[in-house]
Amino acid sequence: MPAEFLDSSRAAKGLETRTEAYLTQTLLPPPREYFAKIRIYLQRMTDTKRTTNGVHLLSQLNLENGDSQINAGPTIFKEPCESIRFRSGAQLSFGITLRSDGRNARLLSYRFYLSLLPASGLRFVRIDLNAPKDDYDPLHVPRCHLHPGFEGIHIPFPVMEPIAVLDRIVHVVEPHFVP
Amino acid sequence: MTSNSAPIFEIVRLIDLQPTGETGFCMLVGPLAKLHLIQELQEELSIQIEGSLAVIDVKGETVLSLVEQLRTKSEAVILMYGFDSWNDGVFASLDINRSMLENGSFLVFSLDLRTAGRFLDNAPNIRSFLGANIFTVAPDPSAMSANEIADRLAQLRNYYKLSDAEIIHQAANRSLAPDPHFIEWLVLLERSDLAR
Repeated sequence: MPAEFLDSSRAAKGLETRTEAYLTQTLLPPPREYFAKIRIYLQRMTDTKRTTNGVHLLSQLNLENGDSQINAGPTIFKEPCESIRFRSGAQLSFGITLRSDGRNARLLSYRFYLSLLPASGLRFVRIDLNAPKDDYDPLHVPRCHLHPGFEGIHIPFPVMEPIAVLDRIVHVVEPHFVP
Repeated sequence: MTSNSAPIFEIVRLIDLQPTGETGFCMLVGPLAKLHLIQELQEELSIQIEGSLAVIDVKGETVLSLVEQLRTKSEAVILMYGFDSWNDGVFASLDINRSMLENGSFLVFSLDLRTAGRFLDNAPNIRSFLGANIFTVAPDPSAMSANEIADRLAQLRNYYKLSDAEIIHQAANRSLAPDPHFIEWLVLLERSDLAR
């Protein structure tokens, strides 16, 4: 195996270590409170005309064991569907899974799917935080990654809390695709 | 009396839209599940406007003692309850002294339906201050319904061509892929305990 490939493997493992450390150290508010923060974030985005809708698409499922699912838009993105809409024609759906001990919550996984118009050059951008797993290949599928319009390509993406990811999509990623 | 049904989230949005320094008026009509309502209002206020909430039980208060309390409060929102103990004359007196209510906070009157009717009948000027801001508190509509859960599960089964039993089996023997969809699937099935 070429030496540079070994270095990439080592670098990928190092990135995963940092990702896991972030996830262990980052405490989010309890799911209901975090849900409310997402809701007001989306409301502000509509108020400032970054998006044309959003709040009414949010839903939450809070289980007795403390696990919680927060969704906006469909689980499987498929045109046509109700999703968060941008003036460019792009659409966003997302799902976030949190695990709470009652006082705080930790991130288990998330998916953000930004669907783009055909003229954009990319069909979609997806940012995933995969669920924890004992055995996986961090070089080819890092736990937190970005799909640049292709399901099979997993580009490492720095893990961030969901509202920070939303903010990057709304203010950094989506504006590039405005015709 | 007509009232709008709105969840606390939207009522706090209304408070947020109130120009700073102007006194706002709002009436919440319905049985007072006091602690629950106050807690929900407090949480939503702190998230949306980082504003604080004062609560006044007006039972046993006169109009002047209530006005004095309002004058000394600096919280962004003041919720008052206990008006069922007031007779019609006290409401009329409150109406006469309405200008003394203007302390720059957002004032929330929480009353049961019957007392709300007496309040509005005897305080027509405050009624005009309230305008359309008369609400019954609706439950938060964001909780996933059984239909929504069923619909999302159907999307997953259809897309991955797998059954719920297969997902649970794979999660139990630790062979389930770590894709976020699969953990969502387990949450929807209330089996997220199988996720490490």
